[in-house]
Amino acid sequence: MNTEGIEILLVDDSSADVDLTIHALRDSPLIDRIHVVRDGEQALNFLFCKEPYLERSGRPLPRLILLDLKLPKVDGLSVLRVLKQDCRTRSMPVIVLTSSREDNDLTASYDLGVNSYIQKPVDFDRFRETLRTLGTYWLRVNQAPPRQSLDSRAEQAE
Amino acid sequence: MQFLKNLIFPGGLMPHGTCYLWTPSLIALHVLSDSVIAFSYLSIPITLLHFTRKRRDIPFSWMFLCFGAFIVACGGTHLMEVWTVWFPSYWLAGAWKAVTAGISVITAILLIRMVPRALALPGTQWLIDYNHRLIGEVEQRAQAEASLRRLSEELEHRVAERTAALTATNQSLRESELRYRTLVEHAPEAIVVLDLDVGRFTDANENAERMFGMTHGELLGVGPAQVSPPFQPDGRPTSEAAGAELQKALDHETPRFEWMHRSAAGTDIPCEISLVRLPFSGRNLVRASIVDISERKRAEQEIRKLNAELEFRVKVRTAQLEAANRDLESFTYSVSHDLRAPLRHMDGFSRILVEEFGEQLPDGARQHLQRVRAATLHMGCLVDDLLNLARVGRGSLKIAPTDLNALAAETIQSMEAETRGRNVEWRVGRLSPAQCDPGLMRQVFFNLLSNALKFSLRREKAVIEIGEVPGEAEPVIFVRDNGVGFDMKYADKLFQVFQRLHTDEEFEGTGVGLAIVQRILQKHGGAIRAESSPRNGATFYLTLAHPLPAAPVPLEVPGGGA
Repeated sequence: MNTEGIEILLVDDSSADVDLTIHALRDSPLIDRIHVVRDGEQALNFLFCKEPYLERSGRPLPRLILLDLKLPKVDGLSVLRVLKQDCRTRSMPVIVLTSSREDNDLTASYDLGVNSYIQKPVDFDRFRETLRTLGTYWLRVNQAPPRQSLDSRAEQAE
Repeated sequence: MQFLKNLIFPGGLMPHGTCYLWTPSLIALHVLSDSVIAFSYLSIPITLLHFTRKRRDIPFSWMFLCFGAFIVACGGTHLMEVWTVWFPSYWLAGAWKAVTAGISVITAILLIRMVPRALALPGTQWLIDYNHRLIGEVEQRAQAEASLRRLSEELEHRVAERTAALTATNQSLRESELRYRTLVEHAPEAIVVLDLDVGRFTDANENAERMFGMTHGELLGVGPAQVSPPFQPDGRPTSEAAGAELQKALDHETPRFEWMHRSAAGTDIPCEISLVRLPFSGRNLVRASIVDISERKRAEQEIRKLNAELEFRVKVRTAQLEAANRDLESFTYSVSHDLRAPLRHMDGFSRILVEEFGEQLPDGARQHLQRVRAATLHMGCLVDDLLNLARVGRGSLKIAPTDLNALAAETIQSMEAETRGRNVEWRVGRLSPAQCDPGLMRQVFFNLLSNALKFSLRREKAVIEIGEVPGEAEPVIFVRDNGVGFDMKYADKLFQVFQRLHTDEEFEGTGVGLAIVQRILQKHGGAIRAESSPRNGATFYLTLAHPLPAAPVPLEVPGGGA
């Protein structure tokens, strides 16, 4: 699996949502740099270079994570908690992209240090618009922390 | 007769005038002088007689009479001297003189005999002194009498006073006794008086007799121990507990405590007793006022039982509610997450279908797809509104002092997009500051104002007004439009979820907005009501923290009419 040029990690269990997201970003240059995982466990494995992502060891972390909240195995908030509590992944921007805008989810997400929270609109046109804006902002407008691998970040942290 | 004639006119003798040789002057001198003397002498006894008759108190009045007789007799001799000038009645004259001599001698003798007795008579000065002394004595006597009278009166007065006081004391004693009796006999509680020296009751009222089921006589033969069970409910022996409370009374406290009595029939009677020591010299008397509190105890028991039941029910109910809330939460959470996703997919793939295969689709198919999308979006709105409504119901109020004018202004400003290209006149009156949840209140304004905009869409000029109804004790806010209005017979449907008075073709909507508004106001303790008639616009009256008055002042409808 070639995940060398991955800049965005999309964590979503719904194939329909994944297809729509991919479709929405079809015309965007980001499209080739998206990697999709289907649950929280996979997401953590990907980021922490565990099976089946051992080969990612030494490679730069994604520049952006799009995280659904309702996920099988390990849910989105748990993933968020792990990422924001680990000094190696803490500075990585995490964007919650979910159906819900329940107060509990909003509060919990921001408490855990989420960088942005977006509710997926029902209207596909608005969804597409939202995704494009989002990509543009976080990958073009925003100055991200220097891209580093997990290990080099760990060294830095020490 | 011859003798009298011889006596007055004796023969052979010459009248006395002859001796005067009838010399007229000499005769006149004698006759006049003798006459004057005679009359003077005669006048004296008359005076004396008068005197003695007037002054009967004068002693020796008979002496005056003697003097009178003597003087009359002397007067008579002088008359005889006159008589004998012309008539020689010398026998008669001599006889008169002899009589006079006799009277004179008797008078002289009487006078001599009288002198020592007359001397013994008190003199005038003595009489005056004596009189003075007498007067003094009389005065003293009078004074003594007066003071005696005074003393006597005083005594009488004091006796009367004392009697009255005694009567009054007796009366008040009687009244006091009667009052006390009445008080005791008719008191609602049982009253007994306990003589601590003999350990028995010395008095008891009828209620006490009734309570203990004993006659007055029986009651006076017993003490507290005989009308109580051996142990009190708290486990103390009755004698010990009673002793402690009675000691308090003896120490001039007024102890009040609960006590278990036992009637002659053996029934236990929960009571409340207050004790007080009676002021009675030499004896240790304590009055006990006893109230049967069986009813109260029963009521307390009942209340405790009810409370326990209530608490239990509240607990059960709370648990049920908590469970229901949890269910609702997970339901809404699920709705929020899972129900919207398929909608997104429907809309998304319909859109993609049109985009990617639009050219191959007939017009009809494209139109159908468009309908699928519209329905999907509508469903999305419904879900969002429902979630909003649920959120309002679940969430707690975050009350803060709120400037409703600013809130209204912000809401109006946020509607700029909707009003673009329309002729809308906003009339915003002064709103009182309020204590409310600003976030929820913003939603109230938003929902009401977007409704007003929506339903006045077909007016050439929409007039939307916000203000306060004048003259109300508590602020009543109104929001009014000149839109299509509604028929008041459907007014009760207005605030029900998913109830709409217009079709989607007329006006879009989910029928949740007003339900949310009502829910928010009710959560604040307020209320909302609408007034309208078809084509005449609608007015919503709302309050935040109190019920709506029966009928707010009707306001003139701006730009009313079709």
